[in-house]
Amino acid sequence: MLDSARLTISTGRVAQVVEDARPADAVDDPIARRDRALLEQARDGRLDAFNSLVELYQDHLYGLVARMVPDRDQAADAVQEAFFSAYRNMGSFRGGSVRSWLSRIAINAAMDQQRFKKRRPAQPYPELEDESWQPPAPEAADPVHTALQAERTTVLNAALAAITQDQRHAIVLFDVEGYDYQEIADMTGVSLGTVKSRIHRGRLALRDRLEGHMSLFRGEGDR
Amino acid sequence: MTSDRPMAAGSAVAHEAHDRIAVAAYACGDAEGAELATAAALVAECAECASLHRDLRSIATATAATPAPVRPRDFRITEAQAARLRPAGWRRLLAPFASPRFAFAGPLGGGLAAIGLAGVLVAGGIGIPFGAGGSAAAPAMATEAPAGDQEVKLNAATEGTGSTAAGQEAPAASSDTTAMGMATQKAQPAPDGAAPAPAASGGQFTDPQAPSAPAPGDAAAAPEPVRDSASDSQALVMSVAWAALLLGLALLVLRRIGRQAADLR
Repeated sequence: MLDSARLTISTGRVAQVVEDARPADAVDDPIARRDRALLEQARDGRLDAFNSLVELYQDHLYGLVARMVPDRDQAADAVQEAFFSAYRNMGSFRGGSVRSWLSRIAINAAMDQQRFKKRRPAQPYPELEDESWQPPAPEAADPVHTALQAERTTVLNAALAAITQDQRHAIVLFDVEGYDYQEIADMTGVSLGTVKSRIHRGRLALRDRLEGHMSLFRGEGDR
Repeated sequence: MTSDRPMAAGSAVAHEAHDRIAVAAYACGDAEGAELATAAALVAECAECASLHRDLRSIATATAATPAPVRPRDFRITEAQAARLRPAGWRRLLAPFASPRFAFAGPLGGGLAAIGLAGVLVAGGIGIPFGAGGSAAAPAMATEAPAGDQEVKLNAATEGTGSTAAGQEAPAASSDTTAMGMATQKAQPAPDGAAPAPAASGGQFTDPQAPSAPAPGDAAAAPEPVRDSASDSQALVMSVAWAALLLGLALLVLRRIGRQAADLR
């Protein structure tokens, strides 16, 4: 996978690095201090320190990118490219949250992946065709609840894959990642109104596509 | 299909005509002003709009609670990959110019280049008044006047008129010479009024210190180079403008090369 031509193309283009505009003291917690210490060591040439950061955040970044890019291989390539880009641009980190910095690099890599890589049409969310794939669930979870959650996740992923790319990105960044409108506007390079419009219309599009499955979701919003 | 156009709520109005976008904004907490009032009324009075509102909130909650996909592989970087990613050689030297710390180079370089270019054009092409006796129109006149008039000015001593006011004279230099901020020189024409000496012609730079071809036997009448304050000021402005232009262009080129070096990695 790492030697694939797609990855070569992907690594040839540096993902746009977006600086974390949040004040450094806003995230001055033990985790942030640990991350910054690791990054400092990585800047001094210690690859193991950088790989410690990779281990800490690769699950988070893959979860984020896989929701934005409807192809698991593409998502994995985008995450790998994001870590490459982060390694190349460690010097550009100016404080704040390392997690947020990495997330923004990954989001840019995911958007670049979809924007510039005109690859052959792929089956979005191949896991939908793969019966062996199931979302992770706690071992002690109620089987009925687990099955319901799995079905809900499946139909929601299918609906997300069916809406437009811009709407999907906006919804994932807003609903899943918790970024506010302004942050999303900065990351995606569109106006605040466009971000809101994408989220509103995207949710309406999701609802249209989930028309026959809404019974799975009713009651979620009342929690 | 429903419409996105706002419409007042009312039991008599079909749900299809209701503003779904307003309901979506309301469900998101973004509705304001008239849109807020419209959406609230729709949700309160239309059962389907109320259902839509509930569904949208449920979908948002479910989306946030969706479990993350399982990572298919390890993304740690190997030593070989790190070596390839690490800048080396000339790229290492240029790497700082691609960093955000050097982001100021773009606007600063562009600004300096623009100012420098404007300065060169104004001082060299159009001309600006320098000093009391300076002539703003002199350089422009020099470009329009015939070659002989551009380069040769009758010497007052020779002609005996005493009319050597700087404001009446065109610089005895080509446009290239003017652009470089060189002081104008007065050349001595042949005393018999023959064709003027070719101090500068054809756009070629001619050393202003070199004496123009005097008429035979008139070596004693060779002119003294004259530099007035206007020319000195113009030369200073021109030098500063050229320096700003070159510095700005250098910054832009460094930034550009640095970014390309980063992209090549």
